[in-house]
Amino acid sequence: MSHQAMTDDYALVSQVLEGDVQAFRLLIRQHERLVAHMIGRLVKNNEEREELCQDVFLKVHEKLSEFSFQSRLSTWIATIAYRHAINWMRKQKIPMYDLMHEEHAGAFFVESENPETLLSDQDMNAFVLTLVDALPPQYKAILTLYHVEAMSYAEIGQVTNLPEGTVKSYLFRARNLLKEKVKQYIGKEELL
Amino acid sequence: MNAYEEEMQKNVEGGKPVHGDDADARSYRQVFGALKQEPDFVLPLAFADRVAQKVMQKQSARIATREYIWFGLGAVLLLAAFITAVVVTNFKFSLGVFSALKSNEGLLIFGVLFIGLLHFVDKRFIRSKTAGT
Repeated sequence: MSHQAMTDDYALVSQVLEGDVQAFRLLIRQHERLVAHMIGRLVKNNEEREELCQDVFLKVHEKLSEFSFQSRLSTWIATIAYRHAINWMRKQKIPMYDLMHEEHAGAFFVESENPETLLSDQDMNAFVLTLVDALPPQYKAILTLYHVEAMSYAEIGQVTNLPEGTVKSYLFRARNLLKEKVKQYIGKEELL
Repeated sequence: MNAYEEEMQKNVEGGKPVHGDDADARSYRQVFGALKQEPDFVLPLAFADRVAQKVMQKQSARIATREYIWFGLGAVLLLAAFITAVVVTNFKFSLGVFSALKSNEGLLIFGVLFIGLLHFVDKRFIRSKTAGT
């Protein structure tokens, strides 16, 4: 963590802990994109998303005195958002499988055997993101933190409570599965 | 992890030339491009204000609860002190001077009602008028 980032985090946290509401507003504005990305990727229910984001920041305010500056503030907030989303999904009884077990790997993906359906789907990015949506939550979180938030393996490990090696292999595996599906898609498009 | 695939992922991510299956490289480029896209969910502009307001509401509710607890505790302690004082001093309750009023119950009730009426008139007609000026 850079010295500047740590100083900024320290100053902001101190102000919030002193009861400065304006500082808390600033903290929210600085991190709302990160929280919205995490919740937006993990939770598909539109009505619940905003409320979950709100709960995350209320929890951040409540637990801020426990923040020990061992990581960046954004990593700590992402951890709260990730855990909050996972707990919500558990309460909703949304299954969370592991793609590392081969037998589950294919089951999560949208079946795209009909080439006509494929041709109607013009936007490749949208197609890939639909596939991402079908991944288990840990994978979605890792992909989002790495590719959208540009977090390091170590930071993602802190957020997801997974060892760095596992983060790396989940990332590799998820991208590999996505690539295979895209390859199929491109192959079928070229045949037609 | 498959070394060939891992190498390819690293090269595509780093924008380096890729050796091997071209379809794989193309597919990886598509995947990496799509993964960089931000999720479409965006929070409303007033989100920070709304959360800050909730925090303030929670804080004032907490302060109110704390005040109620202190008030309740104070009342209990006062009662306990009163009972202790009565027990320790062996205090006997006596109506004293008020026993003379026993024969004038009607006068007492009139007095209480009259004072109550004065307060009502004061609050309803006098204070509300002066507050308006």
